[in-house]
Amino acid sequence: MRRWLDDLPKYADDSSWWPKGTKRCRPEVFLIWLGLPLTLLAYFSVGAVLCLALGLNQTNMNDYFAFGVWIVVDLAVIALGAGAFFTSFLNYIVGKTELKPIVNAAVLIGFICYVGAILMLGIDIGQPIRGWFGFWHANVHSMLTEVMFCITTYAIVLTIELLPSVLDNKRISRVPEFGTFSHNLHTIMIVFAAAGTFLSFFHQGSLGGMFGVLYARPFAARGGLGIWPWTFFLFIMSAIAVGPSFTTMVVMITEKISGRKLTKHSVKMLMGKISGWLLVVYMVFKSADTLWWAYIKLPSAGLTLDNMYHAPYGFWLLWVEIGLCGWLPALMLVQEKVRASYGWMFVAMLLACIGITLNRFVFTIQSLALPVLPFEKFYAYLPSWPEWGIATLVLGFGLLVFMLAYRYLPIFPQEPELND
Amino acid sequence: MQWDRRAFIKLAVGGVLGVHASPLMWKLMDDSTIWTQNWSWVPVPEDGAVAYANVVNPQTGTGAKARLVQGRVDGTRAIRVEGNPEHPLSKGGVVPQDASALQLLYNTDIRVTAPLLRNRANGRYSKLSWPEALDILAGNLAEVSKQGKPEAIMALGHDPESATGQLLLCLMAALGSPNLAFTPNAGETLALAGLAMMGQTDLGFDLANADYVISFGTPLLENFGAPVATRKAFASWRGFPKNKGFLGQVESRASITASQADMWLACRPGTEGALALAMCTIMIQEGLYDQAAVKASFGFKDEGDFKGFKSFLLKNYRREQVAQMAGVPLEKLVKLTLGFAKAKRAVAVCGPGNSSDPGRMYDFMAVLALNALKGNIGKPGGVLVQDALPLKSIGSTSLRGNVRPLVDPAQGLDSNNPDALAKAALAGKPYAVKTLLLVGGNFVYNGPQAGVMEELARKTPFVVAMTPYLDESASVADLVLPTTHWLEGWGDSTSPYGSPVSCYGLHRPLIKAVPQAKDAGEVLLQVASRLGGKIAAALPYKNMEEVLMARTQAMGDFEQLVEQSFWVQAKPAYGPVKFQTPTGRFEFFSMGLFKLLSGRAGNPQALERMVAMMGVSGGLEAAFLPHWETPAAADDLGTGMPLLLTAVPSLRTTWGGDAITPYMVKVLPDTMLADMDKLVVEMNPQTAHELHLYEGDLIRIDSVAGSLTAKLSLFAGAAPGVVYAPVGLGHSAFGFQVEGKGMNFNRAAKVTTDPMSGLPVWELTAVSVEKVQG
Amino acid sequence: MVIDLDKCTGCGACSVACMSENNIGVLHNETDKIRSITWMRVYQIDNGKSFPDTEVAFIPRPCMHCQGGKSGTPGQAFFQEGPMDEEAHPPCVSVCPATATDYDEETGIVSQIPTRCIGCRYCVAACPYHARYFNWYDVPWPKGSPRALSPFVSPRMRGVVEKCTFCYQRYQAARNKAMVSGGEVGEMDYQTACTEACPSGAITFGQLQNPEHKVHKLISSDYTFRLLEQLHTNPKVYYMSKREWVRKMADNYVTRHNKFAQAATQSGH
Ligand SMILES: Nc1nc2c(c(=O)[nH]1)N[C@H]1C(S)=C(S)[C@@H](COP(=O)(O)OP(=O)(O)OC[C@H]3O[C@@H](n4cnc5c(=O)[nH]c(N)nc54)[C@H](O)[C@@H]3O)O[C@H]1N2
Ligand SMILES: Nc1nc2c(c(=O)[nH]1)N[C@H]1C(S)=C(S)[C@@H](COP(=O)(O)OP(=O)(O)OC[C@H]3O[C@@H](n4cnc5c(=O)[nH]c(N)nc54)[C@H](O)[C@@H]3O)O[C@H]1N2
Ligand code: SF4
Ligand code: SF4
Ligand code: SF4
Ligand code: SF4
Ligand code: SF4
Ligand SMILES: [Mo]
Repeated sequence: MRRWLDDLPKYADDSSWWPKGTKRCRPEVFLIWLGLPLTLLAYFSVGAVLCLALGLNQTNMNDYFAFGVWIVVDLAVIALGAGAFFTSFLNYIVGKTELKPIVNAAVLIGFICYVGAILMLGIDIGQPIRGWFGFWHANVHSMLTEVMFCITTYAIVLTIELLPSVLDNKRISRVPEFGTFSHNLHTIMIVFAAAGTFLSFFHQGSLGGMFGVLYARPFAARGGLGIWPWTFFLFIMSAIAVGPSFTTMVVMITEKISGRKLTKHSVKMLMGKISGWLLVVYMVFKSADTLWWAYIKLPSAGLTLDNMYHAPYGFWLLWVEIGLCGWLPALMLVQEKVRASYGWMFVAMLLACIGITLNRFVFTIQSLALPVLPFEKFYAYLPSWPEWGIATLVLGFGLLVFMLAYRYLPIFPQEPELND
Repeated sequence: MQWDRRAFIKLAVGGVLGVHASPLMWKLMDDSTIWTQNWSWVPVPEDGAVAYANVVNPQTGTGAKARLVQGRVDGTRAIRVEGNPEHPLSKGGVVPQDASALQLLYNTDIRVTAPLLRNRANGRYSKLSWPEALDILAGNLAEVSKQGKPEAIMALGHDPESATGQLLLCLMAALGSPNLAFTPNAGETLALAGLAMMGQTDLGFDLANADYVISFGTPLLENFGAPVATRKAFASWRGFPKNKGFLGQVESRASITASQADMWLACRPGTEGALALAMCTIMIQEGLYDQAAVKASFGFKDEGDFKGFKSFLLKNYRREQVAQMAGVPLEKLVKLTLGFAKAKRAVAVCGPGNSSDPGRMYDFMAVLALNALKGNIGKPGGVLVQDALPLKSIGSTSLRGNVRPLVDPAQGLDSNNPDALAKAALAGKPYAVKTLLLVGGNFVYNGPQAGVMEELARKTPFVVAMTPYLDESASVADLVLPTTHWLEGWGDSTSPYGSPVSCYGLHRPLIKAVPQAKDAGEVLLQVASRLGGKIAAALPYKNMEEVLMARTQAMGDFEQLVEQSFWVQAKPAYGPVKFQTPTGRFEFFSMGLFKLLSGRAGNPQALERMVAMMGVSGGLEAAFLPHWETPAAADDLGTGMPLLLTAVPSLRTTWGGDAITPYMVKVLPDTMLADMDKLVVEMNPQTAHELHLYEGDLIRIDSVAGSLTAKLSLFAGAAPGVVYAPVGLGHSAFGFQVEGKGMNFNRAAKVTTDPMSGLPVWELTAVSVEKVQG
Repeated sequence: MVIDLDKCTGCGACSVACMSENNIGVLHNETDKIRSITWMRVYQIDNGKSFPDTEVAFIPRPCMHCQGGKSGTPGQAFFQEGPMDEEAHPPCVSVCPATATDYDEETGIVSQIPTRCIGCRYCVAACPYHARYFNWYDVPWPKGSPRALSPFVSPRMRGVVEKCTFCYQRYQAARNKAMVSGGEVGEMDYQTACTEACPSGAITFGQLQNPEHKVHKLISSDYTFRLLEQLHTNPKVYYMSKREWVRKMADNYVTRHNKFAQAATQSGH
């Protein structure tokens, strides 16, 4: 017994699983770190059990706030996870191979975001067991059908895209079959990148379309091209603009926590540049859309911009979203000087990510908060504790997967050379 | 295995196909569909042949049809109560209480399913068989009677006109106790006012044919008479592009009636009767009254010693003076009056107050006087006298014996005052009560002063509740006897308040009753038969069917009547009214009242003293004329009690009969019930401001009778200085869907006695208000 | 459907009759109006004036059975006889991923199939009239109370959306009867539970396009209006009132700031 305890560090020694040429913290330290995501997941589990067993009355959603924090988080993580498809697209299809060192991380983050979102959606619907009706009795006119199809298939694509990194693990790749399989996967990855790009473009758009088509909800309703409302395009633009920022931010945070360099700063700067310019383009369109909505669309419904902002959902939301977390980071990121600074680039990227989260928040919550009937009451919404628990799923699940992946999988090809 | 691209693709495609080819996935899909649609806790109603049966809801007077489904397993069950288009008054409409009646019927958690004996010490019930229960009841009645004090038996019933009510009267008469009262209602006040001025008791308002209607404080569109019939009349006044009828409402609050009215005369609460008199003054001064009708009347002009109505009005009810006292703009008052005077078929309506109390007799007389000035009595669209219902007596109902009743009959014209009775019994003056029979009506909840009824029930040695429900009365009774719901048993009901024609409704067992429930009337018959002797002889029927058959002999074939479920006077009685007053004329000065009270008093001095003792203000000059009495609550308004409490009636709540139903609770607006079942009361924003109270504050309202805790809602349409509380909430029984929803208005209402009618009134109560929490 | 607000006395009979017709449950706490299921909800509004000029009115609100599509003309609604100028497009139908709600071209009724609904609540978000209700709870049926349930409408399970169906089961019954007798579904053969129940006769139901039907005449009145016409939801429920302030409450005509100033004066639900 005694000996066994003494030998514990030997048994726990997992260094043979570490990616080639890297160093990781001691197993005990890692175990302590794992406590964080596991705590979050425990909180999630309590919420999930309550909501599944007792029903959605455990949340603070209601017939006025039909969507709540889960949809906000879903929309936000799907936008932030867009780094996966867009970086893959630039890397595999456009041929921007400078991005190769960060593609794996982007795909991993995308995988986390999408799987997390799907799990949450499974709890969000009132009849989870019937979830598949959306495929079986699909209504092709529904933006949500499109979202359901694309998110599910794209999550599969992401899994496949992630598989080579798993198979390239030092120990796993020793199994010859896995090695060949992984090699085969690499060779056809471009197909998946293309499929992913297509799917992702569509569902990012459809998520925006979901709100834009609510033509009887003046806050959300937008005009558009054919069956696609402006929000369809705005959501795509905003997602591809912040996706790279988010990926880069996650890498930077990992670097700070692990104390190891993971990608060259030039790669990050390139990501920042892409983000910045796309954000500029997005902000131009978003601003135009907002003006059109305020001066043409709303008056046609008998309303004015003032009516759309009501405490606690006041005008500050608009200024923060478009100004502080929109134009400001856009203008910062297009500047070489800002990108050259590790700190300032991080700040700009963070602002951009907050801005897009805020955008998804207002479309979800504020759309519903504003009573359309003149004699309706105004309600505000705050999630319940089990609801927050479920909302922490992405965080808990994400941390867990990311920590394991970082420890064992060759996500960062530049790491060995940068930390020699 | 060689891992080349072909193998890889083979594996992928093969895997996908394999999964789909296996039955597992399809089976799971199918199962999940079926399973999520058939949760065992979601009921599956059984189908069956559909049949309809006519019925009249005795609670609402609505002519209805029960929709029955004849299931193979579950048997015949009622699935809906719908309107009966053939019923001449309700014409297919229903009110919420009709449409949701099945919720109280089919809830075995709240029904009494067997006779129960309650142990007072621990409150526990034990089940009895009917013979045991009847033995206990008959034994108690026999014992109390044998001790020579049958008057120590007191009974409270719901409806004296119904067959059950008549049987209760017969039983009490045979036992020899005069201490019986029924749920008080405005019909009695109208009958007394009618008797005083017209010598007729069965008056009605021909609303459907009127083109100008003024209602004096009566919630015409909240609850009045048979609510469906009232609404049918109201709807007939509305039209596009022009209305066919005008509605004026005199009331203190922007109620539904006031809002739907073409003119709302917003007055101080309790001043409605004075305004009716001011309108009389205006009509007289403008010469806009029916000269012929007035000429044929008595007491308009001074006659001998008696001051006539005209000079009394001109002296005491000048328009400016009344308008100022009532807080209404004079021009509006005049406009409303002139419209009334000039309209073709105008009628003024009096009725129950917002609190469902019987109303004040002098106010009713004022309104009848207004109608008489208009000359609309016996005319289409006016005040009509109903034909008497062709009902046969089923026994002697005279309670007048040599036993002194608990309440001195000289206190007013009518002795039907459960509140006065209860208070006397509680005080033990002039003697104590040993047995209390509660035959329907749920007095412990409805009161009218609920706290008094509960205390009486707790202090009386033996209390019996005959009720279909485990209600508040059952919860304090020693013996609880299960009676039938109106869809399960035999029973009847008579003309609703203010109906222009007389009507009768009959109900019979349409579905199987809950185990062991008996018709309340049948219980009385069986008790009488057990008591034997002259008591058994006084109630010589086997069951309610026999009683009803005897009662309705003159209505034609019984079978047919049962099928039809109603009898309605064929045509309204238009034409000259036979005034059965001492003068044979319409009496503005009530000679009938004068003679009656003079006879009781003996001499003029004693008459003067008697009138003063009854609480009639204005002395002998006013006592026999329509006049206005300051509401008793106004006298209570003092330093400690600065506000008036009054009620908000609604068709979404009930008072007097069956409890509010779950669906009615469900549709209560958040101006009545909010925030996890808190009672909501209304107050004028200005009044609240002066009291430093804000929207949403939790307040306590205290009166001498009791208190309410409620959430404050500021309503611009509320008169300043008044707290408006919904009636009919705050049950402490009826299951989780009804119990504990709000608080009971009748716990805080102070009940006083109307000086002339002797009936209990509780429209206004002086209260103080205190903030409990913000 | 046409509802005369000058006849409506807010009695709630329509609402309750609908509940009994359509097997609606009662929860422990029904004061939580944003989780309480009331297919026919009776709103109370007031004119915002102070005592003694205050006036209240009621707006009974079933599902509007929006046709969407081209806005405006009454000729384009309910019991469409000819081919439609434009495809029907109710706000709530196209959004449903599971085709659990649909627009019936023959009757113009927006259907709801609770057994197919996955409970995503997208349709709830889409409806500006709050006519759609999600089953947040399992209905706690008291003992014995299922005996009062109608066999013609299935009680719903937790986690699905439901709403007014214009008593579709009554239409089906009328249609079946007409098929047997070889006739057509007449005006009085198909009446909704709320219409029948209303003690004031404030609700009129029929085919908007059929000149023989009462509703057809009623909707051409100057006093007729619909809720939120400016949103082009094209509802099949019309209202009428001679009171201008009531008609104005039907839609937003805000200049600036006044919408919530107005809303603040309204008394509750
Ligand atoms: N695919 C599909 N499925 C459906 C439907 C649909 O439209 N399409 N409709 C659904 C509906 S609405 C219904 S009602 C059900 C109907 O589904 P079922 O209840 O299966 O009805 P039937 O197919 O008519 O078959 C009833 C059986 O009863 C037998 N039978 C006939 N008379 C008698 C009798 O007097 N006594 C006894 N003991 N047996 C008798 C018949 O021979 C037959 O075998 O199907 C449902 N399922
Ligand atoms: N020859 C023959 N005739 C039969 C029978 C048979 O066995 N043989 N069976 C008989 C039986 S048992 C039945 S039940 C009947 C069935 O006869 P129908 O009642 O005519 O049933 P369906 O043909 O299924 O048509 C139902 C319609 O309702 C629509 N619908 C479905 N759900 C909803 C909803 O929630 N809301 C609205 N608004 N619409 C909805 C569908 O789109 C469809 O148009 O047929 C009877 N007739
Ligand atoms: S009843 Fe339900 S499961 Fe059966 S075929 Fe129809 S939709 Fe499918
Ligand atoms: S949008 Fe609302 S009101 Fe219109 S059809 Fe859909 S549920 Fe009914
Ligand atoms: S909640 Fe049900 S009906 Fe509504 S959109 Fe989702 S699946 Fe369709
Ligand atoms: S039409 Fe039928 S389902 Fe719709 S509100 Fe009226 S009664 Fe309810
Ligand atoms: S039943 Fe008629 S009067 Fe009563 S609330 Fe409904 S529409 Fe109005
Ligand atoms: Mo069927």
